[in-house]
Amino acid sequence: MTLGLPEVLTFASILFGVGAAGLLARRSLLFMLASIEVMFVAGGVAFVGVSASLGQADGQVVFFFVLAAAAAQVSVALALMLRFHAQSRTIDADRASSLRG
Amino acid sequence: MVVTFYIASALALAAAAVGISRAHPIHGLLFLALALVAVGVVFLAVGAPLVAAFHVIVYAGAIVVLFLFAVMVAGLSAPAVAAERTRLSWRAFLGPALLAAALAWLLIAASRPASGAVEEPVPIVTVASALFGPYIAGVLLAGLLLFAGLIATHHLARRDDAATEEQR
Amino acid sequence: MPSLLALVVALPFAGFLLLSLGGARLPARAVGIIGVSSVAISAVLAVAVFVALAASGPAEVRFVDTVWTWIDVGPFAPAVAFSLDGLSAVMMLVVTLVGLLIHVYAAAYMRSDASYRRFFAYMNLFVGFMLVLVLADNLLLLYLGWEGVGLASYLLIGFWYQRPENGYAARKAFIVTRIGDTALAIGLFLLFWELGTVDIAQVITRADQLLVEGSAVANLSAALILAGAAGKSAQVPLHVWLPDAMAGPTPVSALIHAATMVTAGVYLIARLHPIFEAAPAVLVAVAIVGAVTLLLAALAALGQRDVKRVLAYSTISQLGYMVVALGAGAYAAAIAHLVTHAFFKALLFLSAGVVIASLRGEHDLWRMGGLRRVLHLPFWSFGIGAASLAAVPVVTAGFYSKELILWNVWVAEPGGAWLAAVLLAGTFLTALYAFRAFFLAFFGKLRDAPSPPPRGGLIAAPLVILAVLAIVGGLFETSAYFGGIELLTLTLGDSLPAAAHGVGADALALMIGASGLSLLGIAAAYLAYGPRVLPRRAGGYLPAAGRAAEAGFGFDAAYERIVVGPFRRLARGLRDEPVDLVYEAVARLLRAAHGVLAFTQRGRVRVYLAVLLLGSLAVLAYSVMA
Repeated sequence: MTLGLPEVLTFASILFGVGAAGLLARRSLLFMLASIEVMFVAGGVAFVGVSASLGQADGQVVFFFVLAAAAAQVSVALALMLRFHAQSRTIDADRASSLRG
Repeated sequence: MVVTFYIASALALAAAAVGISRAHPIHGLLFLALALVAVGVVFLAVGAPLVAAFHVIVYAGAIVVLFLFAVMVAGLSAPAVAAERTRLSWRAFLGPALLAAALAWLLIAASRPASGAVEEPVPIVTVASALFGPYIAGVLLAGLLLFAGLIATHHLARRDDAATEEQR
Repeated sequence: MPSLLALVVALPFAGFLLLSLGGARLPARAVGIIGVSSVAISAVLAVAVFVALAASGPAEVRFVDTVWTWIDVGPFAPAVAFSLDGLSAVMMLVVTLVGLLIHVYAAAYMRSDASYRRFFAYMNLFVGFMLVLVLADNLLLLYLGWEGVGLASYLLIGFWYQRPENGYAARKAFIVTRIGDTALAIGLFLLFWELGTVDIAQVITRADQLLVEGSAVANLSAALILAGAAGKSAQVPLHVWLPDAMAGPTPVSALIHAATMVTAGVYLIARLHPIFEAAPAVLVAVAIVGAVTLLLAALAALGQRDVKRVLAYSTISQLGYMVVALGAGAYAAAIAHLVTHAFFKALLFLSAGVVIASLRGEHDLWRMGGLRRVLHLPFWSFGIGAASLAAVPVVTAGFYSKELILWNVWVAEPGGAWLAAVLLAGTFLTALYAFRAFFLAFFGKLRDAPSPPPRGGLIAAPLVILAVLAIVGGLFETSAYFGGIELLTLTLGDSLPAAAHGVGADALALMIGASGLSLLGIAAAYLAYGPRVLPRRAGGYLPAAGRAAEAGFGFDAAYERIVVGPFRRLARGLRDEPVDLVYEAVARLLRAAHGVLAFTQRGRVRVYLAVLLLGSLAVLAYSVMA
């Protein structure tokens, strides 16, 4: 019995959905960023799965790029979150609408 | 292999779902770390050991730690956690869950044409020579991106330091 | 000698420049000296050039003085050039000499005005443009002068611009004459198109050769030039501006609206007479326009209360005389009347100016009266002017020129007898309104004690000189019964066909008839308005007809209703920029779209996310279903 690509992609899709649900449901910037990480990972899983089923390395290479982008994004986003927190003593995303203007 | 995949993926989904619905950030992040480790196992199961290793090191190791560090710096007050807890009812997740379910279902439907099996692990050498062969430009750019992220973070953080130093 | 010609034109312009750039600190005396001397030197030079022209004899009958080439586009190369022939010489002398007399008068008359310098600057500008008009070598330069005098006329009618009605009168004059000017411009374009030149001498020779008699082009261009002349010379139906033009200072009325500018139309038709001869139908129209104008204006003059408006309608009527003569082909006779009219009408205006000044600006004839005893010089000068206007036989200048016109019209074909009848009726009416004004102003009971009138040599000399000219100024062209002098014919040379002189029973009968009608008119005026009619009939006779006459027979009211009113309504409609509504609608649409889009950009991160997710769901759903 071998592992099929559809199973891997299904897993990736559901993981992506879980991340999206967290992103929409949470108001805390911290959890929103965490949910985004989950979605990144889901995308990575899909890439790696396809790569494995084709027997080629390209998908894994893309995973590394996704990894780099996620790492850079999370560092900047967390720094922004901290600045926002320093300013308004909260990390509630709905409060961030007062940033305008 | 197949069994490993199913166990690991089930664990990853469950841990992720629990992780994003915790009121306390530390709890949430711990579950997230668990989910990420489980995804690492999934990577092993689909025959991508290098990816699995990096994944665990970077996500579970670096990123989650970064999150924890942010939580530490921001400092969490008990009233904020309590307020978060009151907000987190099942109703708050109803709409997003429905949307996310629709999204997942559509994604699965979109990936239906895909077929094939995951059998042979791709050798690490192949991945490495691809990374440092045809994709070298991409790797360098990824490095630059991380460097840019470093500089941006530094700048964002520095002002705060300057302000606190003035206060001292 | 020819280069003096350019100097004749340039001097008034130099005066204008000196006065307008001289600054407000120029003393009044200097202003007067500059303003008058520029025209005076110009007049002296004009006489010198004229003498040279006369001395050169028939061999060289035309001086041309090219100053510079104005435009040079292939075969179209009009120059700023002045030419002098018999016709323009006569006009030049009238403009400079009568202009000089009026300038001298104005130097004293306007002395107390705050804008003395501006007045003389405009006057000099006018004389300069008028000389450009009459001396122009080509039609383009003529048109420049034509528009220039229109501008000067506008500036001087609105000279006392502080009163809105003066500005209105100025605009009215400008716009009404502009209608004619536009027609003239199109007519000149047509001529250039047809004849390929704007040089007047060439236009005349080519018109003889190229214009087919009665052709559409000939008729159209002649009709358009007639419209231009009617605008400038205040002929029906474009005459309405001239009575209102009396809003300007009296010397302006004398110079521009009696002696010189308004005769430009007559000059133009005489100058371009070969074109009219190629269009006989239009020539008949010229005669009819003149005849209608003559009678209408004479009747309107009978109803006026304002002495200057009487003289204005009289000017229109006398211009009608000239135009009738032109229509009958008697160009020389028209020019003869132009000259004598310049003398006696300038005299009348200047006399009226003294009267008005001594009555502190009173224009109303019915409030004058008895001035005979206090204003001796104006009494005599106005009387002589009125007599000359009424063509009192033998002793006045007006008699000779009108007699010339009458005979030439009588022998003209077609319809000469009818036109002559109109002229005879006009003679009676002219005598009636001229002496009506004279009796109302100078006879009867003295109403107001007048303030001391403007005195001095500067006022008196022009009046005396013009009075003498109004008596003897007609003795340059007389029939065989009065010595058969043919100075005008000699001067005009071959620039215009010579006027005919009547000899025989017809001529005698006409002359005696006209003289009788003139005297009859004076007698009627004496009976109706003379000193014995006491008390004066306050409203005059036939009140309804009088009111109609005073209103100029409703031309103004009709124009107000037909043209001005609808135009105003249109302007009011357009004031809110209906075209802009389209652009405003675009702007409003954009603003509304902006509002909608701004509504989506409210900084709610989670709303953005939800919308983003919904959007990606839609895209995914589309790709899955497809």
